[in-house]
Amino acid sequence: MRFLVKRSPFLLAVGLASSISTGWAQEANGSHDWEGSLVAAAPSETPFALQDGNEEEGKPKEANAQKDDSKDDSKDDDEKKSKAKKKDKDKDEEKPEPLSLAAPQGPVLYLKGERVIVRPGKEIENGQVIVRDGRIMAVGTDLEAPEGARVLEGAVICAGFMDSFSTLGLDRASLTTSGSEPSARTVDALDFFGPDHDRQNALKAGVLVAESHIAMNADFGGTGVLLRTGWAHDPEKRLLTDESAMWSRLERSGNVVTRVEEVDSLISKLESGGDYLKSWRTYETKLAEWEKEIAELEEELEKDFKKAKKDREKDIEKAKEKGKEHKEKRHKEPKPPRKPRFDPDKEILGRVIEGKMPLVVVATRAAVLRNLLEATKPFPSLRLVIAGGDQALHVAPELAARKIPVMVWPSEPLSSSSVPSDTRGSLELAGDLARAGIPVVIGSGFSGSSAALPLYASLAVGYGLPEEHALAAITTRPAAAFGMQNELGQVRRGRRAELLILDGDPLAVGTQVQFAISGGEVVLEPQK
Amino acid sequence: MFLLALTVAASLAGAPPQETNAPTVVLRADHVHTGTGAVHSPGMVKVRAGRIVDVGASLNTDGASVLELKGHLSAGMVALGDQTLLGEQGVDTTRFVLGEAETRLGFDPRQPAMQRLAQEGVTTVVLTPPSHSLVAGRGLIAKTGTGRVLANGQAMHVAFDAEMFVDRADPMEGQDFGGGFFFFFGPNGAVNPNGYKSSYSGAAEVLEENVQDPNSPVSKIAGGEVTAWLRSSDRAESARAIAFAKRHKVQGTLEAGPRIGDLAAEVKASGLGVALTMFRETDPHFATQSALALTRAGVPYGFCLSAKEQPVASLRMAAALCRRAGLTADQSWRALTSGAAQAVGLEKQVGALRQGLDADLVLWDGQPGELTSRVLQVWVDGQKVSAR
Repeated sequence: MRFLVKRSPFLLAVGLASSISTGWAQEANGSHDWEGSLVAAAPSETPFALQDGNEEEGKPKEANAQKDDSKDDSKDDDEKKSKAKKKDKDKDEEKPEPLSLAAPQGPVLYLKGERVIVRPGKEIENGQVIVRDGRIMAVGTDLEAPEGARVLEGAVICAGFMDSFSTLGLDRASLTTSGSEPSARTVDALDFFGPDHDRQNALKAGVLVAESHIAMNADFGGTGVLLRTGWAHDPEKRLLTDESAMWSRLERSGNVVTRVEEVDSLISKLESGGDYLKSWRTYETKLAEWEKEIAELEEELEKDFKKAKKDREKDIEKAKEKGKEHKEKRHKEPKPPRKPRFDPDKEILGRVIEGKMPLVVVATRAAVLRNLLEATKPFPSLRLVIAGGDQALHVAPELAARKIPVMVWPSEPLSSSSVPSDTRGSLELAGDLARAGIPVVIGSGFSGSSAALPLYASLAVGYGLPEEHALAAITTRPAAAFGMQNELGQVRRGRRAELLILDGDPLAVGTQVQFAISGGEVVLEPQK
Repeated sequence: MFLLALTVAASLAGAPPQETNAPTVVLRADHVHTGTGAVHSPGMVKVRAGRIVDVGASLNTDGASVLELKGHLSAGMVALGDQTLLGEQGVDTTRFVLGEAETRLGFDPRQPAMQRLAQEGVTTVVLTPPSHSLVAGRGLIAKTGTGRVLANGQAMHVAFDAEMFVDRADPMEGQDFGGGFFFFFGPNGAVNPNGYKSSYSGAAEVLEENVQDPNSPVSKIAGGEVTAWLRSSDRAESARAIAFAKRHKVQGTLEAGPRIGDLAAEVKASGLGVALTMFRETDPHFATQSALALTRAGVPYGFCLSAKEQPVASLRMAAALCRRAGLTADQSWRALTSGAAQAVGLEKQVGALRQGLDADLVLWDGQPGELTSRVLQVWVDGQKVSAR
């Protein structure tokens, strides 16, 4: 997938303002290389509301749609929105029609499942799914196999699992370094040629998408990536995005005063990033004005060119007569506006505070979380995700009210000397967090394994997280947390075909992945 | 929230509760998983005086009070090789052979980790001393919830791994010549200045002396009068331990690392049970393959857990990983219950719902082997110790 805006000074200078209004908005929508009409087929949906399970499919809640779009920060999205609603009404029942008249790119797949888990809480019995051009083309109960389609059958069809905190593709030094900058990019550190068995095991376990990021001990570790585990060696397909989120680690110090400063410093850096983007926008506006002015002047000159030429010739003659040197008339030109100094760190942080990508903050202490929530209040477009959050229950009402997801992972074996033996890991808190109304996202974490992600979700159920929430915590919610709610996490028309065919319930211990489909192609199948 | 009713009464003394006129209770549950292959839906378990009197789809309830339960009833789980519950009690860095040591004397049954084990369905825990000695003395097996120490579970702990050489008091400390080097890396069989052996072969020599010395308590493991717990971690150490067990007809349990599957046939021939040391989901390949190999060879085995350092769920996670690697639901459940009990010689006491076994019962809200299932109620020796 390509981004309209890369972190390049040239592009910034050329089209920053326009990119912001269109390019990034599309990025947040995840709609880059996809036909507009098809993107629209995927209606906006509340990223974290599981309770919308009983909601009529055809009538998305107005509020939900509003909420998502406000995140997208796009003014010219109204058109799309209305299309989305229109398309949404006849979704699912719609017969598969060719999305384009051109020949399909890649295979056409026809999947049949006794259960199709559209999303946690919504299932179809004996359903079919048609995959074409890397996307889900249709989902229904009476679909016929398109000609030439490969037919795959199984007990359960569901969205591929997504690990929201993995260590795949990175070496340990890159993972743990604290010497990083906001502009550091995980994509530059990826090692696709390193030991590969972790990725293969993750794929076998049905984890098709994994978020990886460097520098988990840095105040700003830089931007993470969303990897496709099914495509390790295809440079185009292995990355879903190279800017999944900005990661920030708090509580790097044991000193309470320093911890307070950490939050302040985080916020002030984000703010300066916002100011930086504003200064660029001001520059862009002024530059446009200046260019216009210059153009007008030029036009004027052009108009009076003949007269001006004659005048000049006269002047030269006069000067000759007088025996003086001819002085050229000088035109007074307005000065061009001053260009702000390029700063990649501020640029990326500006995009974070404007909500173009989420900010994942790793923090556990209640006091720090409270500070953070207080300090981020003035920035409504900031998309905050709390990771860790052992004491998140102490600030549960605010987290729930602001719908801030909390990412949990299995606790590391606790050192008995420093921690009381009965301290619980945050995965064990999943049930309590969900009961408090907080959207829970499950990751495998630094010391866990992506391949065990579905088992962590099962375990979370054992800790009191309702099953639907547990499945959501490894499908729809991570997708939403990383701004991919219209791309991943659900078995719906228009979504990317990142799908699994399982031989049993996704959360049952004995369930095996029979087929994995990633990028619209079968990347894992039973070996004969 | 848990409501824990911890009863530590006279049962701590060591004898299971024996009352002649004890009341009979029949627990009737939607599903009763006997752990011996059968599932009764619904099923009944008859309990008297802390023991299971009968199990079946339908039992005579005359004269018994009937307890109706919603959910799945199974035997309690058995955790092996817990080195954390004894704390520092078992650590003695001054003596290499602690044949007389009895760790039960330093065991605190009231510690929170014991309650946590009970709450999560582990009813029996095998404690090993966290020792850096060659022979660490007698371990113990305790019931969680009630804290009862079993009379017949006190295996003699013998080390075959390098842990026994770690942290030993350095006799050369304070002296200005390089004793440290020879202390750790001296030639095989070398005796360091205060008489401790400092190599595998030196340790083996000391062990042989002790086993053959009728005055040493260690000699009782030869022939099986006292069961042994042979601690090893890598394959070569396990092989040495198995050879030792064969040589002296030692009975008991082999604590072994993830590559023990390679020696499955040898373990089977030795008659030892296996305690698989804790393995993490980050690298489960060899451990799960070992579990498969032990299952194929018919060796009883269970999983180790360090309750103070790990979530109790790690135990079920280990079984789940084995299940994903190819064990059946039944086989992986046995590793948590009857297999683990058999590995420490307790198959006639705990690990299944069968007549004559202790009434250690767990009520789940789903299938017992599933990670999604939660523990609702726990009984140990017929006493309810935990209820949600």
